[in-house]
Amino acid sequence: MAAPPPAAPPEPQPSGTRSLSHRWLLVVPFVWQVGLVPVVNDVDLAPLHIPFPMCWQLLGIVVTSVVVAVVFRLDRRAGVEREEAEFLVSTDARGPGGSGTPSATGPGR
Amino acid sequence: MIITLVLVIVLGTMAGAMAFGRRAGSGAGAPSGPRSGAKLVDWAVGGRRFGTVLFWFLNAGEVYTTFAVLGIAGYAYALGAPAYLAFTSVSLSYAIGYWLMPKIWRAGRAHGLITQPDFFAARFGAGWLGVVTGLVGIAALVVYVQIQLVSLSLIVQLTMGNTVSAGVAVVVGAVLMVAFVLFAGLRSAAFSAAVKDVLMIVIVVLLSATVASRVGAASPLDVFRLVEAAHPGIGRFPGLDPSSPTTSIWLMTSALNVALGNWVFPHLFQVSYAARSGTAIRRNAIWQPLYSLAYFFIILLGFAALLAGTKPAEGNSNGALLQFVSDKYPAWVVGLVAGTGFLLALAPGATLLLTSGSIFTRNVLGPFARDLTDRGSMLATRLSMVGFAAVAVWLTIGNTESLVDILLYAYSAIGMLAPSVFLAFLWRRTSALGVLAGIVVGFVALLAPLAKHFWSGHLPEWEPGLIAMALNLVVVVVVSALTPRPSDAAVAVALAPAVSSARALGATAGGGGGRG
Repeated sequence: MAAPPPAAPPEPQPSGTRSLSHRWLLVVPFVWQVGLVPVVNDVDLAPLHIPFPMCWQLLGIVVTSVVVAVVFRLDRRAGVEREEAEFLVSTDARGPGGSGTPSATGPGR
Repeated sequence: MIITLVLVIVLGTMAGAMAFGRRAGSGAGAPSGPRSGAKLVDWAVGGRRFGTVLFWFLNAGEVYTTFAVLGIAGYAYALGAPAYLAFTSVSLSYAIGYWLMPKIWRAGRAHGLITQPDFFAARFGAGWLGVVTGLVGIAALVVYVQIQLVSLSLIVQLTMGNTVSAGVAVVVGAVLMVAFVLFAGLRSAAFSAAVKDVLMIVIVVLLSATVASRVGAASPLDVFRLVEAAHPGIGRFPGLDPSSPTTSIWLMTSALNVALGNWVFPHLFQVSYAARSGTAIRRNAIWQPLYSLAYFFIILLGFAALLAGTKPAEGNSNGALLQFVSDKYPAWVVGLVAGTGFLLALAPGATLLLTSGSIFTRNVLGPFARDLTDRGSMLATRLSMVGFAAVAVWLTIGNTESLVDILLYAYSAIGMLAPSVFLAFLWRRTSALGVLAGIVVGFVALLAPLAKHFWSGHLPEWEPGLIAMALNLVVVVVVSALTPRPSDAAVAVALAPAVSSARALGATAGGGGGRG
């Protein structure tokens, strides 16, 4: 059934003053790969014989990876990883995932 | 020759997966009852210890699937441009997953969640919602299993040289899948995924490098020129058939429906739980989209099959790639493709059945049979997996729909849980009754004959799943606004406590841009 209620509710969300507004960049892949589909559909070019709408989607994949990488960097600068490390420590004390036996399986890896 | 190669690949991988599972301490061969804590955490969410490398393979397993390889090649063969849907599926899912998956991971870690219905029950403070969402999730998973079965039956037929009927092949495929499940856990599935990915890369390189000479093209890229010359307009929407409803609108709505539904599938929801850290998830989201560039080669092969005048049995486009390979390549290549094809269907199929079975026992049966023993719950899990496989067989036999279309059905079904998953992390007020109402209205919009008729008559190019999802969203919001909000403790599973809520909610909403 439902998960066991936590002994002490942790703070599940980052708090503080940092801004995550750079995450709006993640909209870019949607503009590229969805929003502009009708626009590129009628382009007659075929670079390397590849139909342009197909080229566009291939580029869109690369653009997505670049955008996510940039957001990853900005997240790091904003302290997302630091905050997460604190969360990991705070939940480790109670045993990850409620399994209660982190040491029984831990050293195996 | 073909059968020998298939047996070597499949049995070799299973043996390796089991050894790997043992060494990693997952007890792959003998999962204990899904309701006993520690063992199930190991079995279903890999002990929450998947670092970047293992997490990569766990996710990459979702890139080279039977849907992608057979379905997309078949779509390219039969329709042309609509196969580009594949290029959007992975990148857009990760643009959303970058934001969503760490949140799911965090909730899972902090509250010991193992399945997706665990999350619904905890976040909305309603045990019954776990039962409802568990059933919806299982329904979508069974449709997804159907994709693997259709593919398996084609590969069984390829291996046996078409000596068995399609119906028998489906049953054989289902039996193999259930057998694979009983010997595999999530870690073993990750191992099999790694093996099949390596084999798949070998095959794709091998076929793409040699395909030009098989179809009279000067180079692999020349295939695109020839196919455009033979079928003008194939490279743009709506594709090969100018009257097909697969227009730009179709791609846009289908791509959104897939991206929004992807992480809501119960087995992918659990993938988020399995990560060791949110950073492992986010780093994976950088690299994983690039892997999907490989669909370029799948589409190339689909076009080549079309150029070669391939005629798959019964005009079933799903079999186009296999038929092409079998027509144009020597037996050892066919054996390699068939053996890899088995892994391609068996590994994900195992994960899907495993997820359905544990949800059934833990979230659907569990609340009604609280005194179930470990032995009893294990039996229930195994029997339910056999049952779900049987339902999938029943759905599959006699069905010759495209794998892409079946996939879109599966996404439509799971899309009925999508609005509430997103709202769970965005809007404190979202209530259990709101979620229920959204699911009911969404499914009516999706399945009622009157509604289906209306969509196909008025919005033929629109993916019906996306329309139903939008209606579902509106209903969840309206009903949630009118019903009592969940307790603060329940809301805290997904959202920060009220003190800092204004700030946190602002930040969260800012990150929600990926929802498009």
